[in-house]
Amino acid sequence: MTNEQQRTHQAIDWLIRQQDPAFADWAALTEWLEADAANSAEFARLALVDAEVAESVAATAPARQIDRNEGAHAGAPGWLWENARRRWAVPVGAGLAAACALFLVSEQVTSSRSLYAVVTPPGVRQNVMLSGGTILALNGGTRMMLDHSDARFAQLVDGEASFDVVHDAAQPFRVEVGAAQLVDLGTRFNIRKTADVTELEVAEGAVQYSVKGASVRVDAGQELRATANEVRLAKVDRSAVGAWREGRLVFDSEPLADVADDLSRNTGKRISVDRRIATMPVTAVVQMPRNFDDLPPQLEKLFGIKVRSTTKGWILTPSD
Amino acid sequence: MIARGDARRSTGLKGVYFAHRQDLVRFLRARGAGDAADDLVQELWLKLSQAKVGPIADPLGYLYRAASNLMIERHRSAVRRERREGEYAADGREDGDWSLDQLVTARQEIVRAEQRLRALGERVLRVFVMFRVDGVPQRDIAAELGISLSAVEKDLQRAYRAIAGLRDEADAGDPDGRRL
Repeated sequence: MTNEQQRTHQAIDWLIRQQDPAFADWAALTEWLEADAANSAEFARLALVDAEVAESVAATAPARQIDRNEGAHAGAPGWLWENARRRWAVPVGAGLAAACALFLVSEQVTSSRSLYAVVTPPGVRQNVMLSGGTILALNGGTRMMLDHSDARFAQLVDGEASFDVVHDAAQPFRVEVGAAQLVDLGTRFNIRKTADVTELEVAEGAVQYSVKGASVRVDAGQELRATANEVRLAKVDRSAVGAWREGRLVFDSEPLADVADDLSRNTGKRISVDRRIATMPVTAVVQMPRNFDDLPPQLEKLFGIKVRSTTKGWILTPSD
Repeated sequence: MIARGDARRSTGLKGVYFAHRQDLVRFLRARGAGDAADDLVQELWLKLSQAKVGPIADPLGYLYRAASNLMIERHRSAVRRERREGEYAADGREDGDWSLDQLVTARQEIVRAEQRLRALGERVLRVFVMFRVDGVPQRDIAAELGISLSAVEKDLQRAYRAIAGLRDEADAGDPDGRRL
């Protein structure tokens, strides 16, 4: 085993041990972290991924029976809940359930949802047809929750999907995206969700978008862009909606950093952007080639940049 | 059993905090806080003293875990800031002891970690959720699922190795991963 693997094993052991409610070896953990900066880094990396994965998995796990008469709670404080983007904050350490018990119990015990996850790795797409004929086209790097007991429901957790909904006024199709609820009014639409932004584009028909008691109807040829602080409507070219399914990526004054994210999602390549051009607006249509390695020359010409290929992926830099 | 404004509670947690303040500063530094450690421990205390919680079984553990959570949030924000401002994939040397590039930067890597975990099957996932999300001690997980404690330990090792991106050696005990 290499030093690095050994270090990862040690970090894993510490992470597991300190998770136990009875763990008290904080001094020893501190010493291990201090022994080598790389120990600290590896622990930080693992703790971060662990927290993100646990949060994602927690959103779909059935609630455990909580004994409301439980006495002292060992959980860590829940100030992480205040961050509006995250519904279930997952602390390092014991007793997420103890800390968030009321949330989990009230949401999941009373709801009759039986959710399951469909997850695509970056660069890999998947279509899902729900009973009734509605088709969900998932782009790469996407996580979608569906419900065994309800074919008229989907929850886009992260990534991008195009929806081709068979309209049923009696049982409208609903999509949850973050804190927002979208109701199909007879439509084809595309949703892209990252940690900071939700973008909804409607190609046909209309979608009712509701969040925190406010509601707006988004019609064909319109795009809604929601961040934590604001919601904006704009015009969009209907043929550009969901164009990724036909191998076309359409950008209209998008910052290059966001363009790089979209390219990553569609190709599975890790793409980084020189900070000098990260905010450069891009207006272009990228035609995805059969072989993604043929993309860099197209990007160089379209965006006026240089693309450097490394073993880790691509780096977009200014052309000087 | 919520005890708000309870004198017993405020001496409990407060007492432990002040007795261990220096240890917490040292821990925050060890977790990568650098010079900000002193400020962070103040911030920590401010938040905790305002939070409404019931009696705490393990005040010291509570404080350490809160400190660790704080560092996780700082790392998350730092990583997002780097991505917004644009980063070099190559060497992203930062002011701290280690580079932010060593942290997980891409959403995709987290999606992959979750996929690797799910690929290990229902039971490993269940054990992971009971342990990490529900906070159930390993012994109790074993009892509830009707399996041995050592089976729970193995499942957790597999789960965390998957999350860490180490290769899974589920078939035939090679606990030191020499095949890697």
